[in-house]
Amino acid sequence: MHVLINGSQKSKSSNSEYFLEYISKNINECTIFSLKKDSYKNIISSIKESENVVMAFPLYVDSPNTVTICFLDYIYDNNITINKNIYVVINCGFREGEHNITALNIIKNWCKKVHANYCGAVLIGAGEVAGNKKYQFISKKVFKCLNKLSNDIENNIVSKDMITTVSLLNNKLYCMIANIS
Amino acid sequence: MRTIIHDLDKEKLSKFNFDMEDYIVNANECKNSCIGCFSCWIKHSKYCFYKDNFSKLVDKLKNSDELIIISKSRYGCYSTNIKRVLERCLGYVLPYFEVRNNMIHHKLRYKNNLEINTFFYGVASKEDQDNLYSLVKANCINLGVINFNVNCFNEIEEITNACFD
Ligand SMILES: Cc1cc2nc3c(=O)[nH]c(=O)nc-3n(C[C@H](O)[C@H](O)[C@H](O)COP(=O)(O)O)c2cc1C
Repeated sequence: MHVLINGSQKSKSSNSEYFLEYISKNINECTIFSLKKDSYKNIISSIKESENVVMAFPLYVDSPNTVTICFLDYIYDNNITINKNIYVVINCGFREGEHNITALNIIKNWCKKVHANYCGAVLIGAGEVAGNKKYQFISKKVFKCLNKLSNDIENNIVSKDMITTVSLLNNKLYCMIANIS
Repeated sequence: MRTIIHDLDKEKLSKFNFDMEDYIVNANECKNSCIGCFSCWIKHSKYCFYKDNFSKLVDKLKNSDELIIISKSRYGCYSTNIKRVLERCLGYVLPYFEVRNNMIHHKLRYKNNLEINTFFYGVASKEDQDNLYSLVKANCINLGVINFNVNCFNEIEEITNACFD
């Protein structure tokens, strides 16, 4: 069993949730939790019984959003040991997936402190586009990376750090379109 | 004017000698988290829709020449309470995008010369410290801030001795 954790603080459908649902279709037996809605106790007891953990969250101010950090703190402050494989999906508003690197480092540092086994990530740029069904035709690269991650989760193996974004649009075009909408 | 955002308790705060004109923000009092609704950009033009002491912090930042952040360091990140306050300040920049330093960032709402000085306390590993630097730098590029400093200390006393005596 795999535990998928959605850290988005959006009350309605979030991009993080969309990416987790995609992964869930590619792996056997998994449960998706929401840090906003589900109790930490339930999530942690499921983690203890799981093989792998996938954490998906948005980039807020170049770091994991507050809701996600609260969960990291809870585990660290209560000396809970998470000796599981951790896979990560971070999405951000800007076009380049590279913006997510500082947030990923925070997760890697945290993994060391709670004895979790960091196993790879997909860092997604233009999350609001990639997470929208309408734009699937320009998000193929993103989903290719999510396929690779899903595969590695299913096989319990170490994945890679993959940086990805939507195609077709270059930076200038992306700015223009985003500014109009 | 200086704006100082900190996560210190009463006892630790008493060790700092701030100026009378400083605007002091206790991040521990911020109870409402950003919910990612973007209404500070769309509906309320820059103010957070939660009505509390933090909804208009962007105005204070606009009038400041220096922002000081005093935060516990955690895995190479700000403490949760500091993060919560920073997320509530999204309206400081405009929703529009532009290319700066070859990467996409938001258009700036204000053309001021804000300087950001950060002081982290609590033992931080080399990796934590490196990431704190990258994080503050990334924040500054987003905010259009050119001058910034990242200082890491083990103990609060070292900050007060070095900078706020
Ligand atoms: C307060 C706040 C801060 C944000 N900071 C950043 C940022 O620093 N860089 C970035 O690229 N996107 C930033 N974003 C945009 C989100 O990462 C983006 O909207 C993401 O797709 C939301 O994902 P979700 O739907 O899973 O919550 C920010 C959004 C909010 C509300």
